[in-house]
Amino acid sequence: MSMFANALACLLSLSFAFALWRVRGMIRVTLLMLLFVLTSVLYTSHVGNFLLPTLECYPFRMVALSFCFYTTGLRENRRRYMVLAQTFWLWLELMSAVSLVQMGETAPWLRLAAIAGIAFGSGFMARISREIEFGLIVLWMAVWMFF
Amino acid sequence: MNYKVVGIVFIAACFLLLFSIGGSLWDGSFGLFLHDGSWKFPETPFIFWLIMSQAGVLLSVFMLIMNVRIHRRTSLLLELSSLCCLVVSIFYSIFCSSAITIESNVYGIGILGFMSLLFFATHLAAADSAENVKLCRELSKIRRPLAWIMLPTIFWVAASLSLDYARVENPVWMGSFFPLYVVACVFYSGFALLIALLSFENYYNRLMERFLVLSSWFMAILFFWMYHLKGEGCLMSLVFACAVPQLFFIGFIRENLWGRLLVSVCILFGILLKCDFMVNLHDAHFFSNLSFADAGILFMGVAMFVAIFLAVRFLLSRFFENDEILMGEEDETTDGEFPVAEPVKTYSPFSAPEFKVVRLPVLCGIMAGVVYGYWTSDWVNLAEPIAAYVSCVLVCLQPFIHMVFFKRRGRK
Repeated sequence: MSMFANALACLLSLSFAFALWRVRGMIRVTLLMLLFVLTSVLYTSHVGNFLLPTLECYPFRMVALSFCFYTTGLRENRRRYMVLAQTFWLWLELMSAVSLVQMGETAPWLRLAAIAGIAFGSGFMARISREIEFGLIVLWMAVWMFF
Repeated sequence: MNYKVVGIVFIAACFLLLFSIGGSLWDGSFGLFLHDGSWKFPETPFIFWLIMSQAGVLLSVFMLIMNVRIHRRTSLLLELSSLCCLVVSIFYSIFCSSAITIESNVYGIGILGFMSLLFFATHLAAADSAENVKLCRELSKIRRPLAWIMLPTIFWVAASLSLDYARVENPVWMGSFFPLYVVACVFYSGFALLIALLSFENYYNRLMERFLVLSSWFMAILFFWMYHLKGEGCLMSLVFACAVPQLFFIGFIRENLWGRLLVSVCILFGILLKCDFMVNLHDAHFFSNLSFADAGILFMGVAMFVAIFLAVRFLLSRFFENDEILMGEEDETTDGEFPVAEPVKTYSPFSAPEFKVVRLPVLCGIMAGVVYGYWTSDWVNLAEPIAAYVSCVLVCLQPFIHMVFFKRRGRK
């Protein structure tokens, strides 16, 4: 996948997180998540090359990134859900890495380490201010784009 | 408990089992029961019950972590169903040992089973407030920390099982999407199982039913993605597992106990078809090759599950029922439990009461996992389950240590 398509996927995740911030209620949030899964699947199938094994989980990685963005806007138990969302992303990346190793491909261990590091670090945050929220979003975007 | 529904379901399962065994004598497939190594069908129900053995506990743990308020009875039913499904899958692995050749991560499943048992036992003991109030309070404190330890373990074990299966048994499934698909199936079957189990209790939970319908759409998307990736998929499983749940939009079916039960059984059948497709890679394999012996081994599992579940449910009915009256829907948004207005507390990092409970056990667990991984180089299959096992045991010991310690200090 090209750098531009990758960046666009990241922006798409951010836009869905933005939409999720504006919705209240468990059922509505789940419905929006469903719409996002559908969109990310359609997006990946449109721009991706299916011969690449790394793209199998790409739409769900987009969803995981969107969850991470979404947790910055939560009012209660933010730190807890932030760590949970990042752990989900980490799990997806770990499974991708293991399956890539099984297929004889190179796994993105640096990305895994970066996500694990941020997830661990976010557990130390006492009060998450607007600036820290912004910083976290930029960090996740950087991990998505460059690792 | 609705004894009429339970009785009819159990008698129907036994009747179908006897009919299938009789039929196997008629079509000559009875010999397959007598340890025929070429018999491949038992792998399908074995995988199905293995998936189901994680479904109930995963849903219970997830609800607890996500603060979704459900009745204690609902979560107890889920946890108990997981243990019963595990017993059925163990039965399959013993009874059809020559037919089931899957190299599964036995220790990982065993550890998860033990942790599920601990989780269920602490839940039961915490519910029994008549015996020892202090112990109950201590045990209820460790439920959520246990859930925090169990959730990643379930994900880990399910993923390592699916990765192993793809590597050893069926290379078609190799890839990063398959573990996610398996975990999604586990989650979805948990919802279907819950609707069926609540029907046994004469109880109807609208919230869970809505989540089931939403999950069916998720599963449909995942199915089409899998079809897109691999170029094949079981359409019949899509019909049973994803199309049939849409019947919940029809008021008559939704409100009718038998309608709900039938829809949830159809979903579980759809999951079974998915398992069959996973083993045989042929869309119509299940229907075209089903012999009476196959049906017999299938219904044997169903009858066994219903029998074990009902026996344990009956024995532990005082824990399940207490003074609750559960007839029909109480509220659309909750599972009948009245929301408690709790003041929002903010804790500094790593100082929340739940974290205080888990920090030392998890640290010991991680050390045990790292030592295990270092000595055996097995980081994928058992490092995390061993870490979780040590953490779980230490967390469960805490209430007893606290009680003994505070008792002595009180005497001084």
